[in-house]
Amino acid sequence: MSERNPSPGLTLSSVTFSPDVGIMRGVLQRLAMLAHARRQGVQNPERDQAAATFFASQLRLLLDQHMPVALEFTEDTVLYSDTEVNGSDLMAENLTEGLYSEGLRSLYVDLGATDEELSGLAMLLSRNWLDKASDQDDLEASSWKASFDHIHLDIAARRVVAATDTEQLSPEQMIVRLVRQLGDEEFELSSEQIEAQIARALADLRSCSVGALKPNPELLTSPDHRRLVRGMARAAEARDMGDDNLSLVLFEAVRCADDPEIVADLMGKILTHARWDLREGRPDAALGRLRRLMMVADVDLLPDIPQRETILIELERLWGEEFREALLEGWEANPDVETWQGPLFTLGQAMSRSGVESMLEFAAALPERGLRQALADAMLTALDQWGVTLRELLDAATETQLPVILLGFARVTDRTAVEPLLAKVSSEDPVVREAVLVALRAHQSPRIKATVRKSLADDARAVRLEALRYVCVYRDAEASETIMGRIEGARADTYDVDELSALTRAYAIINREGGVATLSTLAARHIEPRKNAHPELLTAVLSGLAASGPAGRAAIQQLGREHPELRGRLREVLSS
Amino acid sequence: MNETVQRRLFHSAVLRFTVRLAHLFRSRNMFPPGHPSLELNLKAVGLLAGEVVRREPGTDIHLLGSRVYAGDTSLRPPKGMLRALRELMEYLGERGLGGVRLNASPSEGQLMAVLDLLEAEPGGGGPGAEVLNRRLTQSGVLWLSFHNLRSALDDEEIGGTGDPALVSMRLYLRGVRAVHRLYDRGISAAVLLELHRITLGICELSEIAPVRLRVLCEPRDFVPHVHRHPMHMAIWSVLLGQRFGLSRNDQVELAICAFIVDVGMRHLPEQILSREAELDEAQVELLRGHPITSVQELLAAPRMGEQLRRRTVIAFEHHIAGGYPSVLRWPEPHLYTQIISLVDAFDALRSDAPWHKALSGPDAVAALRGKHPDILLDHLADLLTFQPPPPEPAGVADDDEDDEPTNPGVARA
Repeated sequence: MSERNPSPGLTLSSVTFSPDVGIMRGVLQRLAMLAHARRQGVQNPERDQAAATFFASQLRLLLDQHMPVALEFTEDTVLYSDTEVNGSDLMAENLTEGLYSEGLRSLYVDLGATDEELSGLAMLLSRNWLDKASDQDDLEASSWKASFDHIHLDIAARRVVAATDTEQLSPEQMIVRLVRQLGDEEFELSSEQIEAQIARALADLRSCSVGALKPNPELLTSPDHRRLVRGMARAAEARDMGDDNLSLVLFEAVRCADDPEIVADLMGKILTHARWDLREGRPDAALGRLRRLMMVADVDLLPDIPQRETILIELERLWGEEFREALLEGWEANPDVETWQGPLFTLGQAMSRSGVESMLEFAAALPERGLRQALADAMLTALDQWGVTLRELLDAATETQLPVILLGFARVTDRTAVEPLLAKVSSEDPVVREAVLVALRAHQSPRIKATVRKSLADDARAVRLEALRYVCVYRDAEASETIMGRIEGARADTYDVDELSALTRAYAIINREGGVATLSTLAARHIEPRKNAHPELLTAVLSGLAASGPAGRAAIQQLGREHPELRGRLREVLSS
Repeated sequence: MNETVQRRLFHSAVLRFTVRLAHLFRSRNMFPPGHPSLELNLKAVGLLAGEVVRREPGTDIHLLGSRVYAGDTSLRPPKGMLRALRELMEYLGERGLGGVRLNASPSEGQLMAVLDLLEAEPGGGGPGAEVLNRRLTQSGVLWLSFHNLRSALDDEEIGGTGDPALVSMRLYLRGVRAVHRLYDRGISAAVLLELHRITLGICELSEIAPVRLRVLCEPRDFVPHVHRHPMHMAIWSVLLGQRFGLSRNDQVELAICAFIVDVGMRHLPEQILSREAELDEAQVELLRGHPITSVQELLAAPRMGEQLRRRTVIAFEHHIAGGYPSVLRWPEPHLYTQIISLVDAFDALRSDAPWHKALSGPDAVAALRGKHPDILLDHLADLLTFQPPPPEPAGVADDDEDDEPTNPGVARA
């Protein structure tokens, strides 16, 4: 089951409520029926259990929408998302009345509420509060004793001295009643000394004068005071409590802990938070939690780490299944390669030797080459620690592990790798073919160039573009003819305008000034759209000219003089 | 017939009796004695009073707002009854009365005697239950007595929901209760929400009656130190935070930090928490590990938002100045940390422990000089001595000084 961030926060002001009032109406209706049945006094545990289970299951429906549930109680209404959800029949009225008279003003159910808590809540709310026996606990006491961890009831104060008390209560009796109302049985209120303390406390509180305080004016004008006030203002804006402070705390807490169990627990929780950050598309934050901890592996840098082994073992879990799922989910939320590349490179260095194979398969399936490259680069830095060469990894790799290893070869100049790389260029997997071309960019030879030229006609767009990059890097003039053929023969259903522009720019780069003349002629020929030509051909050609330096720009200006109707479009091309 | 049905019938009888009583008082003003309408109401009230006392002898009935109380049970009358009940409440209230006690079923003559007695009083808030009950007894009327208006209406009276001393004490005990839960079960959504409500209460009280908060922070043995200490820290933090211009939300956050920074202590043995004996070396070591377990506890919460980040940092660093945990290097602590560290040490010194006697407030401040920022200690000392200004004489125009905001830290800065 995938791991979820169970709560968007605890502050009610930040809570957004579900609009699903229909479910809530049903929940309250059933609760009112249960309360009515229980008021009749007929014992039927099965009926109660069934109703409580229904209540729990319906609330679960709302909670599963990742929104906490909050209800507000007035004298005769129950509000949910500002909508009245209680019914108007006698049963519903009795339920609302009973709960309100017990002081219930609001009810909050957090996302983490268990079924047991929800059923318990149903049984609590449906108790017969209207005809409560004098020795029965109040709602406040009962709810507190229920020890809910995810359910909070806001209950207004109730009278301690009843209107019917004929004798004056002693302070201690009042506190006893107050404590009973609160439902906390931990207070010890027996000894005479304590009675005296309670009496004195209440007397002191009664004798207190009322009014706002007036601080000593000298204090308020002191430079230290002003400095602190400015500091508080900064603290309020949270400018001084960034991820870095937290990262330092997490590192020091783990470093200072001398119990391996505590270290393991801390690491587990830190990794969980990092995963939540990833899920939300915030890889920088995830990295912030872990950056310092990852330095623990460096004994020279940090020689004094008592629980180093435990920390490293826990870090090895970083790239587990949950982390990978979180990464993919986060990428969906924030698909910006630049945001992810840096953090992935750093986090990737925590990959373990034992898990590298599955890691390579996972990385190969990442949707963007920038992400794959970041993890390939991370893998390269880890290889030294493992005592493994890239070539060894390549030799042992399966087809699904290849792309990232091949991208690693783009960073090294191992000429002995050329043959194995060329052997992979005909792979059926376009991601592998693309990675081979990236890796081959570090090498050139007539054979490699010939191979790459063939890839200009590959079925996969990413492979074709990578081949274009290669022929541009080495200005492979022999590729010109192929490129021009593809430009002129381009069809809208096979090439998008970006790729077509890439072709024209590549042509311009390879052929330098010679290419400018050809492209100018081509542009002039296509000023009027031609049948069977790509509709964006002129745009792409102008883009190619613009990328050709001063000569290309001069050619564009010449076109403008000859074809005044094009001037607006040409200005656009030049300014872009 | 089961007990629940009996109760419902009883409550119904109380409501019908009360409404009929209202009709009776109205018809007494409208019709001369002997008029059929008055007679009818006399008869009905007599019958209904009989029904009520038959079901529950000695029934106390109070009127409060739109509610009728039968004993301690609040009854919500149907909307159609509200007008009559309001009339009755006003009629009784004009004579200083808030309700009645029914002891027996009256005859029509006995009812008329009560009506005459009340009619003889023109109203204006008196004479109240004591006087009228004496007159009833002197007239031989025993079937009914009156309750004071005060006991039913004035909630600021001792024991009411607005009794200032009990409001303060309730807030305090809620805080202690929440700390107890926090140390028993750890941080949960429910306990955090409860702490939020409590800190809001502290903030409100600090604006209305800050002296009460100071009284609450006096060390008292009816609450164990371990449970009252975080509450005291929260209160002092709010009082200090206000001095430095913190907004209400920030005061709440500061106070919640004060409540939970030492939550890791919940894993310590009872002997350490109870402060009953001096700690040996091993226990001191255990104690010094609690900031780490506090971080552990806090990290169990979902979502690392701004609040959790702040709370985690403060939980870890607020003892660093005191020597633990032993960190490699540390930037200047957060300002909230500086306040919390101070109030933590201050409140600890105010309570007896085997290793020191409890100090008075000023002595505790003096003992902390040199260990905490002077400006914080100066404000704490000022808080220990402040008294609210005496109330302005009525009719005196406000001068400039009175316009000073309640949060002077901001204004002056």
